Amino acid sequence: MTGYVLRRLLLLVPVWLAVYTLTFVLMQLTPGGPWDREKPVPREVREALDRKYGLDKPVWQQYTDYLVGVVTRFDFGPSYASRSRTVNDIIGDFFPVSLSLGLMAMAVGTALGVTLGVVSALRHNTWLDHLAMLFAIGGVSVPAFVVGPLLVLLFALNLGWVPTQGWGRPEQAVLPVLTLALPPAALLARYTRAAMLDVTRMDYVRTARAKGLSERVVVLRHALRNALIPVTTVAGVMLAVVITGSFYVEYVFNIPGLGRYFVTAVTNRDYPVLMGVTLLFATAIAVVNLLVDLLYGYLDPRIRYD
Amino acid sequence: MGRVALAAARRALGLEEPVRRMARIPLALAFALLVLSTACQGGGQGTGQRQSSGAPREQVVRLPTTEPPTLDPGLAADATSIDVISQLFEGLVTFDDQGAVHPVEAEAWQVSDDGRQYTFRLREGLRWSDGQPVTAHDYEYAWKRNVDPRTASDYANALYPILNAQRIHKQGADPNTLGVRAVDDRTLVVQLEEPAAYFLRLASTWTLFPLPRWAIERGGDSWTEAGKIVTNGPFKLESWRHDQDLTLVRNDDYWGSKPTLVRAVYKIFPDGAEEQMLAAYEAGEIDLSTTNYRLPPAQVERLRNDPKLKNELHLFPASDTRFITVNHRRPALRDRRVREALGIAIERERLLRDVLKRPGQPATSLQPEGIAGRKPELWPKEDVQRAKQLMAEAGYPDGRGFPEITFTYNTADVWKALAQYLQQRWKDTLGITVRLDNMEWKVFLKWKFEPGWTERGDLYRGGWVSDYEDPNNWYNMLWDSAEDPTQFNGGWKNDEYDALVRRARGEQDPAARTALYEQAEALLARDYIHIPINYERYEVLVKPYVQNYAPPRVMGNTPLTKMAIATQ
Repeated sequence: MTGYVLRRLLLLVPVWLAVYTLTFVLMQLTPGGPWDREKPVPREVREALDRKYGLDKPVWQQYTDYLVGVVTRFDFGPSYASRSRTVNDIIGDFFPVSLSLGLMAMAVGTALGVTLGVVSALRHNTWLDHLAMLFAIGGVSVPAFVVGPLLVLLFALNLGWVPTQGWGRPEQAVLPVLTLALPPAALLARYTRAAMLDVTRMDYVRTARAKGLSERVVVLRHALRNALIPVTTVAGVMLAVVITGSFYVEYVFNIPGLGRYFVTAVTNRDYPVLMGVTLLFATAIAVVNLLVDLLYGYLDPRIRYD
Repeated sequence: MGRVALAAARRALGLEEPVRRMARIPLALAFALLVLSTACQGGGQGTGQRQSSGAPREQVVRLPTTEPPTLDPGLAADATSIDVISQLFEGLVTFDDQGAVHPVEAEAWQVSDDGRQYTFRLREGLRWSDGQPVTAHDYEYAWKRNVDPRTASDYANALYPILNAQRIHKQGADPNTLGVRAVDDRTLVVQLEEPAAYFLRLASTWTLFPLPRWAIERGGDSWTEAGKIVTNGPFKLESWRHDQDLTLVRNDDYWGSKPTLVRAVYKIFPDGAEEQMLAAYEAGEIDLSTTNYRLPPAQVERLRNDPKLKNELHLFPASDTRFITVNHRRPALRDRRVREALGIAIERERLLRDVLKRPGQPATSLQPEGIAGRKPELWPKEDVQRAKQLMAEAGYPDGRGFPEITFTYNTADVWKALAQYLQQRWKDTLGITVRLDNMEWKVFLKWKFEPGWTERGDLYRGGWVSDYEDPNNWYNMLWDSAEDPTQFNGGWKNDEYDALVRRARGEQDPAARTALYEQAEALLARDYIHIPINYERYEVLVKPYVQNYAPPRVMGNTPLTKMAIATQ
């Protein structure tokens, strides 16, 4: 087990290098640079800026300098767009926001999705099932940039229950968490339902019922636990998506998260920020995948990592 | 759906006019519903927050902004940063909208007869926010630091008229050779390279504000963070939660008349989030929309017709002209008659009202109101018949034989609307074919200012916002042929014009100076070098309880020192 985890973590090194190289090449290829502004920046100023940030050096040296900085000092460089801060400051400020937003949304989404899925499977082909699946189809097909403003319109502007935007107070989190939770909830509801329908037809579930176990125990201990394996795979992917892909929700609700910042950094050609955040997101996705794999072992003791 | 999502994502990037941070970003579909539904509700009665907000009880104003890239006056180059900096810091002098100069930290100044030496006398009792006195040495330090290429200031060229500034900035000479010297704590002597009649205007800009050396040396790049920053203006920085909010508090030790407002809370929105800003305004979470935001065009109609909101909508002039830059290196466009025909065939009134839905005023000339030398009456008026006649005279009757030309713009709904209008209009009236070409923002900027662009493009969308309200900022910086191709000159060269504006730059007598610029204006009008579209205006929503909100034409900074809240 420990060996497996170590092997997986070591595998991250080539992944990082590949992501780093690819991102670096893409940034070099993108036309337009950080000093291209609406009011033209004089040549001398550009040169001074290039010198200050090391962009006057040969490309291969820029490639290695940044890498060395990251490896030896854990320094992801300065931000070109926010001149009083470093990439480390920015990630430190904004990643926790995206992370907590994502985790809250995933908690809500999982609770909602799994419950709906279980209920629809148990009440298969009843109106309850149909209603839950209607929700599920809506949840996957209506994007956040429609759901978000609609929720603002209804709950913030018309009813005045919650603020339209911002972050920090609990009432400000309600709408964004809900918006972000809808797609995973919908997807998980569908997966849970399908898996539950499969599992409840299995012999061991029939045996459990025949033994006279209560319905609660049959559903939760025997059926759901096995049904959760495919669901976990999806949930893992969704968690990564929700943490790293919340930019639109952060934008609509004006939440100071990393996703939103990342997109701004693309427009600003803020290379160090782009690189730092890309590496961070790559790590986050890899770590979530590892956690999912480990969770399999817990859910199904037959899966072992030796 | 894929395309809609892509378009929405692109809008979310805030691709329009990032410098003034006014990108129009409708969350198209859903916010269209929002319009409908609030409209149906008759202005949205019954919302808890809006009802309870009414007039506030304290002298606190809440206003929107985007994240300021910096609060360092020496580095600032964008409207967002400069708005906040102008509350926190101040310099030697300031100008009003009538062009009159007023003392700020300098109580008096003298100019030598040859116009090359300025001597400023500072007020007594000036203090930094940490209690240190503000001295002439802080000015000397700031100017030497900002001109030093290692500081990498975007506006270092604001210091160029000062002796040796260009040698320091371009050739790496010792910054200590800059022609500025603190004779004692209250006397600052400035030597200029050559007479520059606009030097006081420059002295009123942020790049020439004093700086607290000790705070910068202690804090390094992060000296502008809350808790570290030391300022000398009427407000102090209380907190700055990046991308969230920034709070200013009144400086009770300020030497001058103290602001009425106790606090100003800037709520920080993402780039181009006017829809969210407007929702926050309507929900009573902010008190005004400021000049840094353009109201979403999709909603302008509703706002102008809403019985309550139309009274909260105010228009203010801006020192800002939008125009179409013409590439004079293209043979077909070298002909003045062609340029004039293109310009006078446009119906600007209709374009602004129905197509762009912008609050600007039709422009016949390039220079906006407030720039000395300007003479709009010299410029040709809109006249379709004459436009057709000019094209015929130039050898292209009904557009026959005229090559296809390209109009290039940065990807944004408003410029796309402009481009399509021009394409249609010129086809209908002059019979010529225009190809439209759009580019992502940074790609456009790179293309626009690259030396080679002049070989490729024909027309592109342009515009200029005054840094300071002096003809030098327009006639010399934009249209002098020495500024080609990195400015807006477009390859136009007229020796007489160049000589006139270079002489005007140093002319000490204001009347003679204006006369020189008027002659230069006549040449611009005669050659019709570029195609003016409109003078911009700020359209701002202001709650009725906010008093004395009148932003200046230049930069449009929020006049927090004058504003007040009518409290309950």
